Amino acid sequence: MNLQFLADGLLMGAMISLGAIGVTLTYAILRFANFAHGEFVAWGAYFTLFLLSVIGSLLAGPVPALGPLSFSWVMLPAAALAALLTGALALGLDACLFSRLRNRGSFIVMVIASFGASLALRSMLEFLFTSQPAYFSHAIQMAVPIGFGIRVTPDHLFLLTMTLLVFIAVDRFMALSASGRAMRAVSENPSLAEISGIDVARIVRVTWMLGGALACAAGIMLGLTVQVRPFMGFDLLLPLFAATILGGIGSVRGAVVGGLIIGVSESFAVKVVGADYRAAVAFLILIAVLLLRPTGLFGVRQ
Amino acid sequence: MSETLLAVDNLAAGYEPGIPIVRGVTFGVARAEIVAVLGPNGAGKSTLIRAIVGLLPKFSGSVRLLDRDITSAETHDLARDGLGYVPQTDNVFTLMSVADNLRIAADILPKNQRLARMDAMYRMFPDLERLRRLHAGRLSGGQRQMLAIARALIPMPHILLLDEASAGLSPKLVGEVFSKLSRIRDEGVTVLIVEQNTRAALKLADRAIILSEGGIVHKGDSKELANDPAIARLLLGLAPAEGAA
Repeated sequence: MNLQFLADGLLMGAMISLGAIGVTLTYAILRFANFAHGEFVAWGAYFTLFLLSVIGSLLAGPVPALGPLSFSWVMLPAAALAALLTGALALGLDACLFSRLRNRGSFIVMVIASFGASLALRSMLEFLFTSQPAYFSHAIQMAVPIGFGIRVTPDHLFLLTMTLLVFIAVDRFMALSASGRAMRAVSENPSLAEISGIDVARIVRVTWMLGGALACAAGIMLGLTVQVRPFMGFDLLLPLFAATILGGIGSVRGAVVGGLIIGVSESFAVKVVGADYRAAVAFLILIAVLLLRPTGLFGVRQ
Repeated sequence: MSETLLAVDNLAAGYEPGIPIVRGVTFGVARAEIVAVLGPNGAGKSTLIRAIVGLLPKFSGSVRLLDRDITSAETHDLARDGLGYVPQTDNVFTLMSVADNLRIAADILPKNQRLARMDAMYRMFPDLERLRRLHAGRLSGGQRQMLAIARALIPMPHILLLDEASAGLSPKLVGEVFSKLSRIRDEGVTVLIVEQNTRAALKLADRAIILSEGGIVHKGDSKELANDPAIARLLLGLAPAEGAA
């Protein structure tokens, strides 16, 4: 059996996991399903594209690619700045919309508002950048064999390594840092967190920044692997929520494992039943988890 | 009477604006004393303590902690200001380890004090050190109460407020919790407890405040109140407390 689907699935799963971490944290700490999270993925990719062009125009002459990769060193500062901008976008959306609804609105009001925000953000991207797909690089990369019949491009190897490092960093941040502890505390019991001296409003801001930055990373991965287009985040929304629920709401490790399972399952489905049914896989997994284990793989019934 | 640490003046508070549960409550708590807030069910005891810590809105009146007016203070600032609070239920983070529950509280201290304060709590509550890696959700009721008190004590509060610290505990555990509170007071921390367990609270406290229908109906020395037949009748029809004189 050709195991290529495994490599493709892991790559897709890594992108889903990066986005799902933001969804799960938002869900656990702000207690609503943010359907605008997919747009952070798209905006992150477009911010990066924009910054690549700005930084590139400031440099004299073309910048050569980094070794076997398809992009130059300019990608690194552009990605870092774009992550900050995407976090700021998430913060801005919270300040303009969600924070106003949080204290007086119900769960469903927040969810519907996030749908509206999603539409507005996507339309804004189409207005600013048109609906034509864009690319970070037009270089053609040759996939190299790594054994077991699997071939991957240097970009893919780089992205998987970077994603692994990001996962470890986020996991350690949540486990060992004061802000991570505070995020876990707020997600479990906001009142107790508050009387323990935690500024819940600050933790909400940290959550938006972190979720936005990770969504940006997912957008860059998707842009490097496929293409950049306004609907890229919206198309990722169902897998993001399937991964979040499969992993268990509030669990960062669950989001990572859930994302990888969804990615590999989708890839396997493409191999077995064809690409037309790819999206159905995430939906079926979502339904199965809700019926059989609503708390997900790593979730805890409180 | 020594310096007033907590001063509550003409406080009105409740859940819905315009419908105060607590009305015109005025009292003070002196440094290093234990004061019990007692009263029948629905008297407004928990509402009073939750309003003091900012978890419920105050409609009028004021609350001062030492020289600082904390009437409108943010709840999360009160731990830094020297006010520790132990709620009646959900008073530990059940999905976190015992050590992380303490670290959460220690995180508001300067870095060089955090470990020392955690060690001090492990010395005061030796069971917690043995169980420090266990999830707090797996602790017994008594252990949870000790953890909740330790969490509130970590930032070295001037005053510790406890809401029904004896609820759901066996008489033996109530004795253990109350003896810890006595020791905490001996170390200079003022204690304000809201209690249903009238007899035990009156034995522990120096003074008591009796609430009924949201207002103070009696206050005074707890030993005298324990022998007051009117108080005994008000609080669940109790006979005067044995050996309280």
